[in-house]
Amino acid sequence: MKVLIIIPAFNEEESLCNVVKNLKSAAPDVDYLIVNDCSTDRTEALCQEHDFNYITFPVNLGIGGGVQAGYLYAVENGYDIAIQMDGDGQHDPNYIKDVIKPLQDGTADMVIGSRFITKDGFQSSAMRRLGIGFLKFLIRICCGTTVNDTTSGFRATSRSLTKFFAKNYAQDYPEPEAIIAAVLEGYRVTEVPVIMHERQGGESSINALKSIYYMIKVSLAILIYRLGNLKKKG
Amino acid sequence: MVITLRIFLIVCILIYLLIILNLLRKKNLNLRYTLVWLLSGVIMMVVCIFPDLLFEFARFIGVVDPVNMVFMVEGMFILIILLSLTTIASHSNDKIRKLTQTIALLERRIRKLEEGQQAQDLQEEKKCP
Repeated sequence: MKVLIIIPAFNEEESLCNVVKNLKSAAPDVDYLIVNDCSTDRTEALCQEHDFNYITFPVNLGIGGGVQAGYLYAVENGYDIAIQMDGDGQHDPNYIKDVIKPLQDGTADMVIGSRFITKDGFQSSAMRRLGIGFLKFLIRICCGTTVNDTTSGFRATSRSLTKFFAKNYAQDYPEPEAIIAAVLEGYRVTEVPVIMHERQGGESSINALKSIYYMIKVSLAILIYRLGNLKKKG
Repeated sequence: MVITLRIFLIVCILIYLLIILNLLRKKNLNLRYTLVWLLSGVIMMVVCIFPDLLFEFARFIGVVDPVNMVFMVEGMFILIILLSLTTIASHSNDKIRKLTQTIALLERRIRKLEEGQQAQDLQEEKKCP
């Protein structure tokens, strides 16, 4: 099966090289694509120097637009599985075989790498876990599916779901919204345990000030998505 | 509504419509996005020429001073126009996103093509120096 790793990167000069190096040694037989979202640091220059496989945006689109470009690339080049993996070193490429297993078995269309199943490794701050827990609750009452790590950016999608996301994907903070979109469209979403690390460099896209905006925006997005698809049953 | 206010409003609306038409003529405005502006001007004009209909309605819903009804209608038009602007901005945003993604994917293909071409050129140079 052709597998593509999508690595969205915005100002990740400190960690990107390590991420790609680890990826190549852990999973040598998968392809990858770095999506440089108009970084202001040396991210693009590094991609050129090391001859990485990358695309680069002339304007900044945000994480959603970046990942979606990866999905478009996966559709264009006929990949069977597309995996999103952050460019900051939080996600361990050794778990790639775990997240693609349910897809290969045909038991799921979307597999989310969750840090809250075995509760090992980096668990994020208490406040964040509270927010993630609230989104878990919201997604459960909206579509009946339980996902523990709703904001995890480590996720694999099947060919048909990749095609769907290439057409419809939220632009900012897309992770929780993508879950409910997939469920309401009739795709099967499942989780596998992974261990995450603390980020190696750069800054999180969500700082303290933005988190209130984040929660309101994402909660509203989930509710509106539910309202827009009243007839569909998750 | 006193006659002076009516005349004043009618003159204002005429100027407003003329400005819009002039901008349209000079192609500074896209007619597609300007229809809601024109429509609001025309309706305000009708209200100023035949105010009784609107004032009847104003009394019915309990607006004490009928002139306030004119301002209220204007305010509603502004809200509708702003909403239509947000719709337009959202659509433009989607288009920009799609274009950016397409450009990025095409740029990569061009880069790969050029690299392939350069490698080929080098090989040919080696073959026949």
